[in-house]
Amino acid sequence: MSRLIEINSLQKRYGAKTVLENISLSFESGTIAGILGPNGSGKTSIMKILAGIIKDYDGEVLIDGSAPNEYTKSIVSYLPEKTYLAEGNKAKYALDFFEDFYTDFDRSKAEEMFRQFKLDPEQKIKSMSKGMQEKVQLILVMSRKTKVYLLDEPLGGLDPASRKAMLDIILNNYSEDAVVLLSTHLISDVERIFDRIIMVGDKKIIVDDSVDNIRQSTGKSVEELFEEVFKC
Amino acid sequence: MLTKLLKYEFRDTARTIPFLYLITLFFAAIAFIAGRLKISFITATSSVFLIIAGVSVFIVTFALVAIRFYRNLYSNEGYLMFTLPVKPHELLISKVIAGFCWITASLAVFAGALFEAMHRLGFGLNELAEIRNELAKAGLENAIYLIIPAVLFSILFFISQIYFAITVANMPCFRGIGVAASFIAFIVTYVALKIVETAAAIFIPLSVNINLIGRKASITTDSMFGYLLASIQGNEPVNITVGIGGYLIDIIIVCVLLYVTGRLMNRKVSLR
Amino acid sequence: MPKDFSSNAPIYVQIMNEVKLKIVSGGWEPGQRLQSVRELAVEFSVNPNTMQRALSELERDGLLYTERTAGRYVSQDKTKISKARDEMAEEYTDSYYNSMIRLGYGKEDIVGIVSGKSGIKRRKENEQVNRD
Repeated sequence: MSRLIEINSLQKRYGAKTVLENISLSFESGTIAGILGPNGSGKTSIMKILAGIIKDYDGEVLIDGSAPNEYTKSIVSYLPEKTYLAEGNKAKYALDFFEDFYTDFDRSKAEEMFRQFKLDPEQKIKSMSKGMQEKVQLILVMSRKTKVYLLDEPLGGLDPASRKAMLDIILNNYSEDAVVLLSTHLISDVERIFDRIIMVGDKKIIVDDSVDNIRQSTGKSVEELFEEVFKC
Repeated sequence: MLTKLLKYEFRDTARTIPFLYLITLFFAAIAFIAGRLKISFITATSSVFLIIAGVSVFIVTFALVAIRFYRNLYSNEGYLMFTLPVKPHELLISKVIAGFCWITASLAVFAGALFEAMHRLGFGLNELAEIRNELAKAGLENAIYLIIPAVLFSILFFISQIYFAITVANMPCFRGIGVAASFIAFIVTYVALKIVETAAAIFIPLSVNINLIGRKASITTDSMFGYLLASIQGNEPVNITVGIGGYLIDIIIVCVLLYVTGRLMNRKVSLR
Repeated sequence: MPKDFSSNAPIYVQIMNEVKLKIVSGGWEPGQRLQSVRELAVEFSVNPNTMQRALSELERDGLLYTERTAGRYVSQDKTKISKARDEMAEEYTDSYYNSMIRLGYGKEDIVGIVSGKSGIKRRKENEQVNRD
């Protein structure tokens, strides 16, 4: 076990609006953590900062000892909420692309998952449904054998059966000594796969505990606690 | 990694731009066949189309290069590009190289189309030869070759301005303006740099002095200002002074633009 | 339902119960080799650390054992398994009994309902026959 992600007094502002205020967090390898919070709570900002997409933040962010740079990008596998594959390309193009740029990308594994989910690499991205596009991206991201996985709302537009399939992809494929950070608002579906829960709200971290501790000490499931913490 | 970026840069752009060349080739072929068959009506029409096609190729290439830059980096695709394990300036360099190659190729196609069309319409090599003779009289027959680096450089200059403008327009503070931000940024940059360039051309004491009587050109440390002043006052100068400070400053501007663009990409831009 | 199966119980406890059920019901046979933790985690859709914890607890209870290199096995001790089965039965019974008391039934009513469970079915069948 080693400390893979270290965040100290992180602040992020967009113009005059503060979205993250004095956040400190660290993650050891071998953790699957859920980042939960209402829309606009800063979950996505944390993910983007770790992925190296947002560079103008205050505070210290270290991934395997380095601030986000081209090294950390080589060990971070990031799934944004957006569909980032060029629409006019076939899925196969994305396989080529990942194979070329990420040395830890296991193409045969990705192709096997394509078959398993009946996805056709020859199909163009734009002719796929939103759910198919999300599956393709998750397969690409999870076919890397790397240290950090950042999954921003990977279950968004999926039906319950597909959600289970996506969770299986995640559980089956992450490397054992990795950190998986998964943000979602569909808590009840995924609660069981987390060993740690971080609730972000109003720019701060409100809850940071293990799922079983939450259940033991509050007598509530994470979803019930979430609803209580963020009730309007 | 730069070679890999270039590979995909060319692989992506190669699906649209060469298509423009085919259209041009099509009109060239018609003009050629019509010329051979001596159908003057079609020859003339297709030659005009050929010129239009050539111009369009050139302009559309610019547009495609700009759109590619925006879409690949600042739309959703940016989430993929900016999380690649490459140095941020490698992204920029790969796009400058690819854009430069395509625009240069399109310019060549444009020039070829123009030449071919002019030829069909009755202008021939004679006219070009005459121009060259005129220059030779001034002892400048080799100066014509200076056009090539000058043109290539201005392509690079233009690309740097486009990329710079698009990048500035995608900084969080300007994003609210939308697509128009890129155009505004470009126009502002263009006008500002033109002013700087012109001022530099006039005031920097480095110029080519062309003696009209002796037909000799030499580099001097005069500025162009005196010459312009004299012209305005109505004197007939014996020497023409052409400031080259503008070109020097352009080289510096390109370096600065690319450096700043790279830095903004790395530090300031955050995706929607 | 026994209280351990409620949605608020720690997940490892829920998993322990799910695994226990497999063992005592014979779904997993005595001496059978278990899949890897990862595979089981996927099967139960649960974090591998949670799975690991549940398995270790069951190992402590003696329902599983580990051969140092070969992996993890279901216990071959049949008395232990049937004892675990009895314990689970007791838990279910307690839980059922308490719920029924809360519903307002007396002890005899409960006995009657349980013993007549198949009887209720038979009576309904008779009514059906009589009507025809």
